[in-house]
Amino acid sequence: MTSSDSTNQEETPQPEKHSKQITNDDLYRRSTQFRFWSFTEQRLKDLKRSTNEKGAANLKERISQLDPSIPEVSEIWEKDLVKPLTVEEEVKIVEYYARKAQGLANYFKLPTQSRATAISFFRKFFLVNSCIQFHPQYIMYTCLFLAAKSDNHFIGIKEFSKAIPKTTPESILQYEFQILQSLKFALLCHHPYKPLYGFFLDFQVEMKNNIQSDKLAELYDHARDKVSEALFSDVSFLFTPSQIALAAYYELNPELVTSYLSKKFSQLSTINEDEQLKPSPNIQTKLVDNLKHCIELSHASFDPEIEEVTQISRKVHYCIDPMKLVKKMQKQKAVS
Amino acid sequence: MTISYTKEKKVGEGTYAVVYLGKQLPSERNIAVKEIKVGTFKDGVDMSAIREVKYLQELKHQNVIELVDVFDEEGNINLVLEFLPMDLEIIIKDTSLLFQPGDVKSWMLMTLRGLHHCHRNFILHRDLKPNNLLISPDGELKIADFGLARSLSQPNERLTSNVVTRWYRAPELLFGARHYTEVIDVWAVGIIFAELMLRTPYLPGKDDADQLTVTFQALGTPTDKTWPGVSTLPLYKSLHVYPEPSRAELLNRFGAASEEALNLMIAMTRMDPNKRCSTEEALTCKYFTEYPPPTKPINLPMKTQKKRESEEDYESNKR
Repeated sequence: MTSSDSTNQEETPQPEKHSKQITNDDLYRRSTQFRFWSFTEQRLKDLKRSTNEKGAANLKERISQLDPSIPEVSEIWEKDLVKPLTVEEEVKIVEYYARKAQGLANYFKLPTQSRATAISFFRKFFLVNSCIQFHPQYIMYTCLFLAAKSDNHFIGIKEFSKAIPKTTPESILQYEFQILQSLKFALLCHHPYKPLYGFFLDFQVEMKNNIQSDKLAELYDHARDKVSEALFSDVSFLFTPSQIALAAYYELNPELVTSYLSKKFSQLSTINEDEQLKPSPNIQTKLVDNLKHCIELSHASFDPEIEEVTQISRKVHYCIDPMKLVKKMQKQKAVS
Repeated sequence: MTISYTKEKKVGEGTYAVVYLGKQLPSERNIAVKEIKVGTFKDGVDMSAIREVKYLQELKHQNVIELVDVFDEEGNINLVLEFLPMDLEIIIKDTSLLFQPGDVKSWMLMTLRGLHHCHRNFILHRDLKPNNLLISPDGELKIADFGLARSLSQPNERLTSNVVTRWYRAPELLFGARHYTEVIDVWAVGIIFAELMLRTPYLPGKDDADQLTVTFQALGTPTDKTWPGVSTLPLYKSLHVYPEPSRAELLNRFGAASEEALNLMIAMTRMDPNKRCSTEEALTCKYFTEYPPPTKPINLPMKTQKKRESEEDYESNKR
């Protein structure tokens, strides 16, 4: 596994090792969530920027193809009236509709997991596609429909569309394949809710002398809210589900998590006979630093105001179809 | 360089898909294309296709069919899968083939390895049968058809018991259980194990009611004593209580089975799901380490005639 291993083998030929155990971490690293949808902070930032640039370039091309014989079109060209969204505007409008998705999921009584999947599909779509080309409102509907279907909580398209004003089955289904493709056909999402529950169970065993059971139940409920709120930040692209879950507990009760970790790590170093499997001495400090960073980033969500979103949304409409602005300008001229 | 796919020959048609053999270009690799009929489903991309894509994307393993690619053609979704010309059902039915004990062991080993990989990723297959165990040209067995698969459920979720082809359906499913775990797949593998030794389906029920009778005649009727709580399952009615078969009877039934082979089969086909073995327990049992060793995949019996046919096809394609 390590480089020292391979050099060792070069010197003294050894029989192939068959005893290598696949750990849960190995399995997670093979998941599409890790392979396709986990990034470093810098990579994530670059990706958002390049997606926005691609959207802007696409807009420029579409504007240049407008009919120059229309006077309003040259006015748009001269005064640069259809401006692309900035990265920050994209982030805001995506978050606004991600929160809308949550409300709609609750309306359809979808379980927590499927609701989280819908939000995840939606946010992934806009990591690789720009709001300059797709209005997040419509993509959000399709993501929710697809997430329900993919997570065994199928809602018929007629019923689904009927519940949402100004949609038709076709208007929702038309984006389905594009979303699948944008997701790289990776539909299985690992959310922090399962590890959150797992830690809750393990706390009951390991921490029964540190916290009363009713307090622990309360802690679990609050941590669940933290995890749900973190769905709107970037942490799911940057940390593993168990890190996000543990960070939620740490934020609410750092003393409990600290003593829990000390206990777990000391258990690990006594049960493992294999030196290589023993945790390194500074691992706990490293993990806690990681949790603190995760907490910090989980708060970096906006919950933007409706007025601001309305403005951005108008911009999106013109970006998607610049002729809308042309028509609006013509109408205004006709009136005056 | 763009990768494209050809569909050369239609080889099968199901309710939701048409399967073609074809090639990946420019690599010339043989592949199968599963074209999902979208038009016939009014709710968008079909649920089975969604499941198949969802789970195969996560499962890269030597004994699980590989999902090579997915593409869209005139609004139809196409799954590009590894080319696997044979399945275990065809091989079992070909009476001209003789199975050695090492052959059966090899197929069991490959099936359980693939299934273990599914289960350790918390994925239930829910439709294991010889027909869904495909064989590659070099004899490797691969689990296929994930159209019914799902993730292991949460304790509070209600599942449908209407899964798995009838003959391979575990007793908890026959009783209509709304919650079950990955050992429903282990049961199916146990029944396939029996079929490999008998060369004929082990529990071929004619309908759902008959399946209960056939299953319990062969393996004994479970009661609250042997399986605590069984009588609380929805479809458990006053059943004729057949006795559990004695070991001597089972040895007689499976004349070719070694003691260890029989132990494994008994462990995989325990009525009470809580007592049935896991894939890990199955894979580490003595049967797999005792003599004879599992046959190397390349040396396993293959249906010769079919093989010749496809070779001819291949030749004629080249011409």
